[in-house]
Formats: sequence, C-alpha cells, structure tokens
Amino acid sequence: MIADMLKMENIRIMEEVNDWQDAIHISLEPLLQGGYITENYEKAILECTEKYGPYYVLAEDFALIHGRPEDGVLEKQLAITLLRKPVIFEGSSFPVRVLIALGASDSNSHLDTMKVLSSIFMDEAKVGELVNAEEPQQIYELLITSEENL
Amino acid sequence: MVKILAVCGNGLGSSFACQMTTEAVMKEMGVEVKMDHIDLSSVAGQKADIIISGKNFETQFSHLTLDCPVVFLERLVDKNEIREKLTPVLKEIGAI
Repeated sequence: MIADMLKMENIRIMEEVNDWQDAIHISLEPLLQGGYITENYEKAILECTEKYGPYYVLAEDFALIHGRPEDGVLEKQLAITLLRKPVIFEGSSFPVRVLIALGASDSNSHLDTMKVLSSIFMDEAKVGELVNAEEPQQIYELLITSEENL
Repeated sequence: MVKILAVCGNGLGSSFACQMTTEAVMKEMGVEVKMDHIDLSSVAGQKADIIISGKNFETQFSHLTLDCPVVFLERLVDKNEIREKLTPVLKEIGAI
C-alpha cells in the first residue's frame, strides 16, 4: 500500500525554489530528516545527473527524484513537494511543479507506490487536482483514493 | 508475446514509471507484453524485442550494440507519445 511509503508530514507545498539543485535538495529534506536516507543520497543523485542529464524528469510537471538503494536509502519512503512556481532542470525543457522524492530499497518492492503514481501521471484530471491542491492533505487523499480505485 | 524492456539510469524509478505507462498503452491496444525495468549498465546481453528509454540516454545507447530496436521518449509517462512511437516498431516486428 502507498500508505506504507507516504506520510502526511512528508507532503509539502512551497512557493518556489532557487534552481534545480535546490529543487533536489528540498525534495529530499523530509526523507533526510525522517531518517529514511543518508546525506550521500543527494550527492549521488547530483553525480548521476551530471552523467545522464535529468533522468528523473518524467514529463511536464513531474520529477521523480531518486537514486539507487546503495546510494543511501535506509528505509523505503516517498516525499512530495508541490511548487507553486515551476522549476526547469538543466537539460530538460519541461517546467516541473511536482517533485516526488523516492527512496527505494530495491528495484521492485515499491511496486504498489509506482502503480498509484503512474495512475496519476496518466490521468489529466488527477494531474490538475494535484497541481492545484491548496493543502498537503488534498494531495495525500488523492493518492490514497487513487489506490482504492485502481 | 512481445518482450519490452524499460531502461533508465538506476532501473527503479523512471523506467518503472515508464513500464507502467507502456503496459497500460499495450493493454488498450490489445498487445500482449511482458515487461521489465532495468538500469542502463545491465542492458547489454538482455533479451528483448523492443527497448524503451528516455531521450537523455540516447548518447549512452549509441555506445551499445543491441540486436533490437530502441525507442527514445521525451516523456516517459505520456500514453500518446508511447503509442505513437511504439506502433510502427510493433508493426515492424510483426506484433500487430
């Protein structure tokens, strides 16, 4: 269940970030503070970005910020930051408002979570609901009900 | 049964999301697929009919020798783009 990987306190709404590096840093903050990842995780993601470009930008509005389990994931978890003002990652042309930070413990055990997230990426109405959310609670409920309706 | 591999740098995030979206598209098209997601460093030597990946990985793929078509996407979770780009390849390999 997605509830195993997502806590209300790890969903935030913010006005803006300084740049894409700041976006990565801010998106990972709740995972670091909660003890789900180590400090090395952010470093590894930045290194991987240098090598491959912004591999986590999935489409307009969505970045799935993630590294490898061995880069510093202590416990699998998700954090979501919604930005009012979009950020553009270097090497990509898509403005991004939803930063989803993922710490996965292996390549498959977050399957339930990926199912829910994908069901949102593929549904324009849900994307609209997500980017226009006024409170973190609305985002949380959208994810939980999306799983119920899968 | 068509085997499609979604590939990204780490093999667990972007490729997984792409796999889910592709599975949904294939279901709509009535094409039976077996999908998996892996990281770029493990892709050589894998058996697949089609490989699907992000456009940002195009340079890395140019260094690999693969015996199946590779489809590069701008948007990894866009059903329309996936349908448009996969349809000719599926025809080419005789899957549709």
